Amino acid sequence: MTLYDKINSFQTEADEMLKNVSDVRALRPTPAAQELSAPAARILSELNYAMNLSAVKKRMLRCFD
Amino acid sequence: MIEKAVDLLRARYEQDGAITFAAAEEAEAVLMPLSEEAKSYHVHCVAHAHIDMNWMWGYAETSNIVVDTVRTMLQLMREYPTFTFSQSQAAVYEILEKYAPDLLDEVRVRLKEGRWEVTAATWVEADKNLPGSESFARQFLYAKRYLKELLGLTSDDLSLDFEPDTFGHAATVPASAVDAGVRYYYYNRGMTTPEFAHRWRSPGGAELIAWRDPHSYGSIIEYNLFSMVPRHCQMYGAKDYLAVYGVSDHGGGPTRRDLNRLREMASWPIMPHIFFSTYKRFFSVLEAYRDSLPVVEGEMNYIFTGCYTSQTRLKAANKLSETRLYESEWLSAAAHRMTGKARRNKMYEEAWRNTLFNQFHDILPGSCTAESRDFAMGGFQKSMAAANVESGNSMRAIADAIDLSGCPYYVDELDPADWSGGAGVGFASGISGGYGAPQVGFDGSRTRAFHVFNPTSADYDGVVSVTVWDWKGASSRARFTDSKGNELSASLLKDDTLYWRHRYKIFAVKMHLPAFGYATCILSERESGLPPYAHNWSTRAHVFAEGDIILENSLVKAVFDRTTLELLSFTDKRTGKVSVNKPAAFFELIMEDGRRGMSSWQVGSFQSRENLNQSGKVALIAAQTGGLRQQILYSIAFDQGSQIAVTVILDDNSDTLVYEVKAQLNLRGSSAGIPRLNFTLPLSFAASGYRYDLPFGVIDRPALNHDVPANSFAAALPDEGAESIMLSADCKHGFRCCNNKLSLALMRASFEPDSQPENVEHHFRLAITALPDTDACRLYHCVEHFIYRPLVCAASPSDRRSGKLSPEGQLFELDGKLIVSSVKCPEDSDGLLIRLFNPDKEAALCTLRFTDPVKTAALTDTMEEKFEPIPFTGNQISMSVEPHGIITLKIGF
Repeated sequence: MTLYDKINSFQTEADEMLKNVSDVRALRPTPAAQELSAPAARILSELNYAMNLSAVKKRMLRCFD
Repeated sequence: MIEKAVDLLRARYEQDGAITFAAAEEAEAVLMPLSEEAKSYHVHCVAHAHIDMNWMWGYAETSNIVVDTVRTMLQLMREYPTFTFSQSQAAVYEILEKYAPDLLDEVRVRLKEGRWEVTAATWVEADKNLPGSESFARQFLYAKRYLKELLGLTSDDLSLDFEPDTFGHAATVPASAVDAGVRYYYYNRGMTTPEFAHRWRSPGGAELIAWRDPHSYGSIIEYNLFSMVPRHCQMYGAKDYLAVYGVSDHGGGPTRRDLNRLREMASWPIMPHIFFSTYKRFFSVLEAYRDSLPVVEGEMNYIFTGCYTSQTRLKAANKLSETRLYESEWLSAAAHRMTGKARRNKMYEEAWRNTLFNQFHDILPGSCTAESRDFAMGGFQKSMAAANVESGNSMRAIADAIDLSGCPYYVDELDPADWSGGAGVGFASGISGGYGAPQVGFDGSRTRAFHVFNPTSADYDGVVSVTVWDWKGASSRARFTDSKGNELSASLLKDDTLYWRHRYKIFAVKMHLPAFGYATCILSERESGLPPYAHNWSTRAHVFAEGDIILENSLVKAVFDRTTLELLSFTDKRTGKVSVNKPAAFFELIMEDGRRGMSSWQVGSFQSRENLNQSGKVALIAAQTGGLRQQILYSIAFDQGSQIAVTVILDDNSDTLVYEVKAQLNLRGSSAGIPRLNFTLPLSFAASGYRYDLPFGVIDRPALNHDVPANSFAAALPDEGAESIMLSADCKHGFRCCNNKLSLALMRASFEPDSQPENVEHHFRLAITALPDTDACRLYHCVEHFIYRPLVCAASPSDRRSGKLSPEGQLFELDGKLIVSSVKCPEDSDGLLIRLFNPDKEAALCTLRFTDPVKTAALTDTMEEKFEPIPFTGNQISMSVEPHGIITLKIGF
């Protein structure tokens, strides 16, 4: 499993879990909640960006295709 | 490092059941060493509101959208001190000026602060395939002039051509834009290759730095929006990226949510450097990377191929506007030069603004509602009023200054019993007459003079249609002579016909007209003599005769099937080439699959094709095979009362068959099918490709079994030999040329957003021309003579004439393989402005000879700002024009 897959599956899993919790605002934001500062959105965005940054640096672009 | 952060996050996630602030902070701390590199990427966040100028709504709604969007943006600027906003389209600012001048004052303040950016190099975000060459130029000219005056901007402030939603872009866009001082291009639709940042190069080498947005022009700010920034930047070697955002199409612009999110994301350590910016700032950075940007050439097509045909009234309105404005501006410039008549630049600017507005990418392409079309057609009528009235005024001014005293046969007398004054007012200046210039009769005497104007760059030796009002002479004794008394060939096309209590006759007269000039013919009555006319138009003999119908002159021979009226053969007698040898030039009813939806935009696959000349009820109405103008009239009736009325014309000394068509398509489109009418011309020879015209040039395309855009013509490129054939149209664009066949979409009954856009009587003209070769200039010249017909003006009553000008005159003549896009008065001075282009891949030498000695001659540009003197001798200018070059000359006398 590539690192990208790892983040991606993690995010999918987190998305799935969020469907079953009542307090969405506290966990992970939806666009409606407008809370990008919520921790999950922020760190997952940063991880995705970091991955892209790293891949470009290492010329490992293919893992994103 | 990243893996460590992910593992940490997963462990905490599994432990806590959620990603907590603490876990996120811990993971972010692990990533912190990447922060500096993360911030080395710069994202220029440019806020805008894409406002469709009348798409699914009319002008009132558009105006409200504009005003309330601007009001909101100004409010956001007060709340967010660093927020910047960019707004395109000069027409938007015109709405503000008219309806909300107070907001415009605040915009001016924000402009000075550098927080409001005007990205309106064009009047509207126009279609970039269907408008003609001059429209491309005028979009820039009038938008930039207007905004400079309104907002105190400079040319450099308006260096971006912003076309976020335009459905395709002609290959020559860079050339026309560069000539107007544009350096940058922003677009979304039109290219499948991955280059976001590139240099888009025209065939002649003009380049724009272009950005094809990998997102949408209407993005909203979401948390993963910038993940791909490093990868995208790597593709063009820079570290600056453009993010365009704001609620769009129906205006609106960015929301507080967007701004809050951007502000928040900008604070995250592992994010690019995110900031409010402008297009100018972004493109200025990109400019530094110019040499490393990939070069892209060619057209950015084909997006919505239905838009080359949908809503034919809008297409016709656009082309008629362009054609009549061209003629009118030339006539006005000629009258100004020859008689001192005042320039009318402001009036023409207003007329052009209507035309340019209607070229918006949801209006001209036909993807709008009936309400939008209604507004467009109103603007069109105003443009026509300006163009045609001023054409009449200009011809009248010249006519009044012509000295007819030396013309044999001309008797200068006013018949006291004359009642012809006012005859023909309004004649042929409506839709059925092609919105022609006035042909009023002022003189009721038996001797009449007519001045005939040639708006093209080539001399004309051909047939002129002269309307004569309330002439008391006998048609059979009518005699036409030139100003020196030489008799001219003539034939009668229409005898005494009633029109609002007056009567008219129409004669075909063969005349020589100098390029960009005029000549005079005199009508007098012979004392006796034989009828000179092959006046068999009204007989029924041809209808009941047998055998094929043949229209033939010294240049071509066309044979028609008497029953189906299909063209059976078409021969160029100059070369012997038979370019048609099987039934051709027929009307096809095609049923497109309508299930894809978006029917005005998208063409469905063809489900059935029916040759209406064979399956419809074809009626030969009349045929005239003698005289200067040979004609066949026929009609086709088909489904549900639909009808096509056709007049096929072959004039003396012409290599072109002209089809004048009136069509009523009573079929409705639906998801069950989209009815469409085509005109199809199978060829006798193999074609390796097809040559089409586009603004400021031509383009060669291979055989393609889908609709492609052209301004007005398609010519087959033969596998062997040079001789060919061309199909052209006065207001049609959707060609489909393949399988050795030229085909043109005439009407499409699309059903959304307008449910019945084609339920009207529609008039248009087609032409089939025999070609010795497919030289680009030749093609253009053929089309010029088809589209720009000689304009006739009856001489004024004698008490008005001052008699300074000779009966034949010329503004200037042009030698060389160039196409004239415009002849007009300069915007800010007297003299002449002439825009030309070279459609060929070879440089063109040209010489312009003026009637009067030249005092100053300069190369200028679309904006008429540049002034580079060029050499001239006496009344003559000679120069070379680069391959695919566009030049604008400013001449002072």
